[in-house]
Amino acid sequence: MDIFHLNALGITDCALFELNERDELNCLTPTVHWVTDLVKVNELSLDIESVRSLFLEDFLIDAGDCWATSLPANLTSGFWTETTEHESLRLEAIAINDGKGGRFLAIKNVNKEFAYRQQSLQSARELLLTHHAVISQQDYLTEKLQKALKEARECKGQQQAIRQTIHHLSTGVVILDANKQLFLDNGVARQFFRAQNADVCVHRLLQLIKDVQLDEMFLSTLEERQTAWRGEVFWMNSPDGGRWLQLTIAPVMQHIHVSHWVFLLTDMSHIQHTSQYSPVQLDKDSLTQTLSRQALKKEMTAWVEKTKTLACL
Amino acid sequence: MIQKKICLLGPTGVGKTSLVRQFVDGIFSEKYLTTIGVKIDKKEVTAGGKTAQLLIWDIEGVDRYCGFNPRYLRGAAAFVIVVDQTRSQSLLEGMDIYESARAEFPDTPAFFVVNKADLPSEWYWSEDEVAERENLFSAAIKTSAKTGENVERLFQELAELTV
Repeated sequence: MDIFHLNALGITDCALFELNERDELNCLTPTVHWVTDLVKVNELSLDIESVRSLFLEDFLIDAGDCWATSLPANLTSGFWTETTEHESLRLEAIAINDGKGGRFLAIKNVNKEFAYRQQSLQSARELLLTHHAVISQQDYLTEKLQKALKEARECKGQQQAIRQTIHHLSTGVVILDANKQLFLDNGVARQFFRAQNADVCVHRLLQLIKDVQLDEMFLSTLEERQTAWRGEVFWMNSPDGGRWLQLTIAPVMQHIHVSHWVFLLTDMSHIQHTSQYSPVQLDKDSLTQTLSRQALKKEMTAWVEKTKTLACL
Repeated sequence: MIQKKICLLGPTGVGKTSLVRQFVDGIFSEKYLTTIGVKIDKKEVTAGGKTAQLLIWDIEGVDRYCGFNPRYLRGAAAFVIVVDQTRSQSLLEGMDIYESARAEFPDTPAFFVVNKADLPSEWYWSEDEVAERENLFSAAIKTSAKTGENVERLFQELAELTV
């Protein structure tokens, strides 16, 4: 069965040309109706006089190379779409060299194959585009995550430095979270509270606050004003008996809420004790070397009264 | 009449066919329909006082299902690399295609087109990174096949460059 019969039966829709000894393409299937949309065929000789299709014209350059060899060779153009006045043709051209002197050009109407491929690739490419969108989102999230992790690592390093500093301080430090649970303390604080563990340390700190009457309302005021408080207190119920303390209480704010409470403790007992037995030395002002600044002021006021040329505020 | 072959290249789904449809027919469809093979459209333009016919080769997107075929670029007066600013990957793929085309056709002028300008830019490339790539091209332009923004300008500039 030849191409004419196959075309006639609708099994194929193919135009066939043979390159003759004059190097002209001779149409073997002049009855294929769309051939004239691609080429102009001489009615008598059936030779192609000119090529109307830009794509085919371009392909014939490569086809010429295929036909020029003495070995069997095939070259396929790939699918292209040729739009005519009436329809869109889906075509594929094949240059054939049988290696025995036979050189042909077949142009197939590949409408069905085209539709099948388009349907398959449509789904595949839609999936590919979705995949790209997901990958892109994933890349974006990964980048954000890496940035956050880097910041967290840096923060952890800084936190470690702060912990070490607090650990080596000669001032007692206890840091509680907003729920009054221990976040951090140091050896000086534990020693002061005679605490073997964190629970005892927290318990005694809270006892101290209660004993010196720095109640919840006081802490709420500090929180509200976002300010720290420092003062000297005498703690009667200290594990070592009555002790003088310099106590600092500072709220750590995050936006408008307190996240932590910082307590700084310095045992002032020995200073108080010394002052008790060396009142003169203690009263002496370090700046003026007078007994006290009040004494200096009195002396200056008296001097001003006497001379009347200066005023003392 | 002077005829100039212009090839549109790029990854899948960046809007090459939509750019051609907008330029040639003035229409746009939201529906994505993948191109198979090649389709050639023609349109007359006036450039430098001359009327020329642009032969626009709309070539199937390059992806894992369809490789780059340098044969299609033979005789082209210029080629256009189209990418999609809503897809980061399209820039990388577009640059791969550019390098393949440039290797075969080192002297052919190339345009860089960032399409879908009507949509928010969702790619993670910084302006500097995009500008660095744009410098490889004869011209770079942002277009929207949907709104028609810069589509006429793109082909006019191609005509001015090639005619």
